[in-house]
Amino acid sequence: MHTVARGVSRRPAMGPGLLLAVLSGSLLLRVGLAGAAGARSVGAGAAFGVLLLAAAHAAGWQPRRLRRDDLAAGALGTVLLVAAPLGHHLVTAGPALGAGFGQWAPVVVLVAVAEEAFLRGALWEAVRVRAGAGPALAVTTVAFALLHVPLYGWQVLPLDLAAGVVLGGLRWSTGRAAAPAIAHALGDLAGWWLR
Amino acid sequence: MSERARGAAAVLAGALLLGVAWLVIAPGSPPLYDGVGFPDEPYRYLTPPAGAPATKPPTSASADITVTAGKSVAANISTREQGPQAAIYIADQGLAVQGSTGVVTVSLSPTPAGTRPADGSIPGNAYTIAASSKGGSVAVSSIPSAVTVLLRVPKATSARVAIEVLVGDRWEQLNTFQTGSDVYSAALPVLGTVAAVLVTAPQRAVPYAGAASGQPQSGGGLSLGPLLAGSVVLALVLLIVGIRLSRRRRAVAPGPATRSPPAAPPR
Repeated sequence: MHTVARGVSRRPAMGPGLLLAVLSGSLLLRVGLAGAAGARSVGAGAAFGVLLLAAAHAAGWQPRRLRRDDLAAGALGTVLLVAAPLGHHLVTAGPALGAGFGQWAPVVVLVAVAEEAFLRGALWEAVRVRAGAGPALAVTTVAFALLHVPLYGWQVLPLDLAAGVVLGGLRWSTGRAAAPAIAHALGDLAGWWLR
Repeated sequence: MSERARGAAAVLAGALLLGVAWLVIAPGSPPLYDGVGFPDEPYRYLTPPAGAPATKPPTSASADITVTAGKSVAANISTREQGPQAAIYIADQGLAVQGSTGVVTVSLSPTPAGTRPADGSIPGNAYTIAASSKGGSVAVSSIPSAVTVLLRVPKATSARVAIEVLVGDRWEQLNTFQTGSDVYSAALPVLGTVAAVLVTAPQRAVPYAGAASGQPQSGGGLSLGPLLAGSVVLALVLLIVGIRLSRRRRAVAPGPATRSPPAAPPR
């Protein structure tokens, strides 16, 4: 977001470096708040989501009205994200579903949307205006993959790098963060049945 | 090539990478890309108490651990429930194998508790930890925390929980730490049968002779290190942003404003 006021050129108060610092700080807070509960801590997840949304907003990201192509691209992205787990689920029964979907789902959606607003909204734009869409895809994909490591371990890195490319591709092709947010949120929610 | 086409190419590349990633990752990896980890599934009892929801049977786990010059490498073994009901962590050189180089098979399986503990009751399953090697006998080595066992109880409780090990026909307490809302851990002095026991006896039972001294501690709360580090990082960012905004305000020259229309915000 570049504005000019009284003849003075304005750049966003937060560039890629500061945004990545915010991401690191928010992640550390999430890990600290969660304690031994780790990724299962709903409170820590919610705090993380709120922090990312606030940072994305401070960096200039604003929610927009959904368009049809956002929905279509988001649906396509969801199919790509869940195709393999769905195939695995059909041949291998997973653990029984527990109670608590009503409390779990809203926080999952909050965190997924907040991550997309931050990564594919604010951070993408901050990198894109400086270096172009290709580097924006690379930076946001690596950040997306690394932010999951403290909570889920290194084994998720290949999967989340690939998922980051899909979500970044959706951002690139639609020009907005809505499609990856839809795909990310629906992909995570589907995990409830596909685990 | 248009931006839309480049984005579509990235989506296609990502889909191919996803397929490859699913082929190479370990089975059982979480099929999610973040959000919040799944809540625990209902506890799977070996012998369900009255009124317990119907579940699949509890799972077992085993692993082959490399041994060199009689010492094992580090290993983690967990049962496969969502929220494993039992897990063991074997430290590097945590198992001593008599004169062996090769492989030790370590197994973790639910087992009937048999004898009731004198100091309380077992709310979940007992688990037997066994190790076998073609080379000779296997024992827990003498290094600190050589083998740590983690057990999940069916319900988080404020009552005291101790992990106990079956020695002969008697349950003996281990020095137990709470590592989650419903997860407890203890260093294991010997391989054998263990269980998490809801301690109801007014007096503490005689602890296992090999157990370290000290009271059970709670580790289920906040992790202060990451919390402080995260707070410091975010405070520094706020400070930098504040300084930048302040400098910009000062840099704005007085006079009539010539405002151009604001550019589109990040999408």
